Amino acid sequence: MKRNGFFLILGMMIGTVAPLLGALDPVAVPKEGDPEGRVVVLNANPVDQAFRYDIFQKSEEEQDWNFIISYAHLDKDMHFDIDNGVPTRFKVAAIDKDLNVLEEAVTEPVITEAMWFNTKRIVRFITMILFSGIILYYIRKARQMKEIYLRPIAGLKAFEEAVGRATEMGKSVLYVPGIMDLDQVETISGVIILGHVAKMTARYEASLNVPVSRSLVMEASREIVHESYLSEGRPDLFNPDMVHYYTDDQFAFAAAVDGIMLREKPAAVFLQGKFYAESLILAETGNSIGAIQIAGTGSPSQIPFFVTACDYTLIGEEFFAASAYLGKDPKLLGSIKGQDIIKGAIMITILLGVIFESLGFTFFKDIFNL
Amino acid sequence: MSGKFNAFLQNLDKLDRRIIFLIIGLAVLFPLLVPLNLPVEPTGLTRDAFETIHNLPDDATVLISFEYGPSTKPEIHPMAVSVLRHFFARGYKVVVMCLWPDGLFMAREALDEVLNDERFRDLEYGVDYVNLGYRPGNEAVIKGITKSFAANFTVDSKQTDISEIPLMRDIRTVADVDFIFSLSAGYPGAIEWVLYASDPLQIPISSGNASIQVNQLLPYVKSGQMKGVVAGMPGAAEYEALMVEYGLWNTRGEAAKSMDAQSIAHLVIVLFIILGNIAYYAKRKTQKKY
Amino acid sequence: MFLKRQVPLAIVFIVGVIMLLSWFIPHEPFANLEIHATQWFDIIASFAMILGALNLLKLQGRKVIRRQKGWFYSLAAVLGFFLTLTFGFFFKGGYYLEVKDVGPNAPYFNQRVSEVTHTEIDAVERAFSKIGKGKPINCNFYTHGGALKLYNELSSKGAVVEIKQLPWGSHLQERGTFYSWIFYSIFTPLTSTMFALLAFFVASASYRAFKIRNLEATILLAAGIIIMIGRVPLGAYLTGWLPSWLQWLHLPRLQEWIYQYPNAAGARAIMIGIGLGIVGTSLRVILGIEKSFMGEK
Repeated sequence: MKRNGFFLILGMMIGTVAPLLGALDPVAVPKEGDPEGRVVVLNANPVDQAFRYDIFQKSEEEQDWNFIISYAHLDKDMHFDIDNGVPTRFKVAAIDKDLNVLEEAVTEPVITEAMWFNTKRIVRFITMILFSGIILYYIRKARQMKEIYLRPIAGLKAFEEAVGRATEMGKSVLYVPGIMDLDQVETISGVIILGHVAKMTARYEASLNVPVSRSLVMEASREIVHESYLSEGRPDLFNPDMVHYYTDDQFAFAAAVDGIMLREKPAAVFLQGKFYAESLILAETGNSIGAIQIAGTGSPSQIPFFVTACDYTLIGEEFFAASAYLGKDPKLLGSIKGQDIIKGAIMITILLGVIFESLGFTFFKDIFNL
Repeated sequence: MSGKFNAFLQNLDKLDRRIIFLIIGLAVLFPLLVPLNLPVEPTGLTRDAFETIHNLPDDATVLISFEYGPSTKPEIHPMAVSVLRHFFARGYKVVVMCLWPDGLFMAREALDEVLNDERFRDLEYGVDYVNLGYRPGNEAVIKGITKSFAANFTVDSKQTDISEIPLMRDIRTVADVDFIFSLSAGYPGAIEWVLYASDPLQIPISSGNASIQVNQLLPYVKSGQMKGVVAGMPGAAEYEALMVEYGLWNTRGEAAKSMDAQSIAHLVIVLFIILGNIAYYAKRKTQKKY
Repeated sequence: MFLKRQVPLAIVFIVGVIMLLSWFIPHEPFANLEIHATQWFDIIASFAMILGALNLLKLQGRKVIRRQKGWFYSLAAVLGFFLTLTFGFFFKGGYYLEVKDVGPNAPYFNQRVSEVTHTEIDAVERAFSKIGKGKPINCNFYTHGGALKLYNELSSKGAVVEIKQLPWGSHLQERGTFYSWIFYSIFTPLTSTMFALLAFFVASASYRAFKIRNLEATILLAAGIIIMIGRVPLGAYLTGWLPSWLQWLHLPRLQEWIYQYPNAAGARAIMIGIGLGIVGTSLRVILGIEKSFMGEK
């Protein structure tokens, strides 16, 4: 009797506690190895006769549960996003066909945290340090070197010739620094080259016309042109209206510049910056008026159009090296040399990669997947 | 006689560009008035994009982003219409957004055109598809939606709160979509989608672009980061042909009709090049002679 | 001098280094710096647009007032500016009718709505079978008068309708607003025309430039012709008859090979060079070696 009573009570206790222990038993842990944190891995055990599982989430500060998603069955390692540093709980509810809650369980609070260094980008970090180091080394070394040889680039030599031609013909120089804003490196390069061209126009007393497509570019260009004229000792020739804004729209700007070309017929046209589809429209119109055209861009798809329609084209890296060529500053020339060394290293790396891949060794490629 | 002919050939070198413009204009106009119905053969790049879309799960949610304007509309709009038609025909849920202000208008036009189809008349806005509209910020918007759609698109294009849109209840971030299709004519565009959304979150992506941009995208296609590319008007015509091949559409699309004109125009350009070379050699011959 | 020289250089250096490092540090506060910086730039650029607009108005307005050469083009620019501003901020149009009840004469209602929306009658009937609190008629009117005319027609047959106006924001893209009229009737045709000029310019540029001067030019010419013809249906049509052992000469196949291999390789090489150029330029700017963009020597 006493033994039967004991087992009866034990059975009742188990029957009461068992639902509290729960078949679901959800566990949420931060995902390992994720540099940005934010990802939680949730696991829970399936419940008999469950038709679907509803998953909720709330942070410790929140009152109500936020419904996230329903699943017909529970996958292993379900991933969810939470905010870093915020203790968050998950609730899993097993629902039957009649939409009754069979069982509900809540996880312990889980906190995710981002890494202080993204280990997945270690190769890129090392590469960045290496490349920057090489460029800085050659910048420092440039001061000690007598002369840094740079191969002649016809387009850059033609800058002065073009401005001189405009002066002789008594016509203006048209300079377009691209159609994008100052957040593009090509635009900054275009504006830097404008400074050099402005010095030439100040020296030769040629009139300069700089239509721009962005307001910030207008302000920066105006400042550079002003400084260039000041440095040449010709502030009297500077007029703020040399640099003027038309429109942000790509083709409206192309139409405006075409209008300038056809009405004013500049003798020299410089197209230096970031261009898109309007490049051929500008270049062909410039060609039709008989102007000498020098183009330079970092947009690979527009280079063929400029090569076809312009007299000289600075292709790719030549465009970015233009400021060093024109300014002849040893530090800038040193950085060009550093870039060339890096390019050589990249070529060797590509060659090694091709050889190893062709021979079936993938370890070399895998290094760069890190 | 041969002297006159030589002189004529040499003068060809200085042919007035207006004559070239006139001939090109007529070459483009003629096939539009008298269709040639040249057959369109889909290429690998377009087929990859098509089959990736076609083989998505039946309950997939897709994101389509409009990044083009009226200038590139002839090239990209036909593919936008075809791709949207494909999405709806397959029963996918469609989220439309724009990273270009002009894209807003293009999205609206494309949706109007596709939803005019009898097959799609019963589709409900907010349940089967939604147009979130345009947000400024270029790639910042893409980065933002990798963390939260609601934080970047508080309302949709009709100014409805995003929390009230049934379709968006299950889509909290871009990681919740199964596929991204970018219709892009420049910056921001497909490359930004690959860099900031598709590659980090491993969401399959394909894009429809102006022909000129395909060069820049081929490295991403070759590396597997993008699943095919629909390249320009030829790509749009190929996509339309694939829609017919798979029984999802039954007529010759706008792009296919325009390809007749493009075919003749290309042929005329090639003939001009040959003519230009004949003139060039005639001139060189005369110069050598003297 | 300190403010004009040292301070900008310090700002460029500090911000440049922080942004560079933030790409490697996912932890706050670096995690979202890139997004914030891009948004700050967009805000600054948006406000800077006012400077551009004022400059445009000043120069074009001066041309009009002084009747300088080509002043009528400037007049078009100024008028276009103010017209778009007016329709964007002041007069939106976009009046529509919201239906609360179709009324007793449903056939008339369906017929009339079908006419204004250019949809089939049974589609209208389906759409308005469940109205709920109110369902808009998918047709916007530029003026209140235009909407009022339809309102009177439907109300006279017993329908319960209300005239409403599109909210600010959606008036920029919905049809039936003045802004969208400018976009579809003026802006779209103009930009399409400008883009269409490329077709003509490509022809004239090709005629002038594609000359067989040397071996490289010949290869370029041959590749160009293969791609031009292979890319369009004409190429498939011209070489579709080739037997299977000559399929590699099928123009579309040939053009695809050229596109995906030699062309992609060349494009990648140029992109690597451009990438290095961008790295070099950016490093020079961040470190203050290149100062001329600030107007410094």
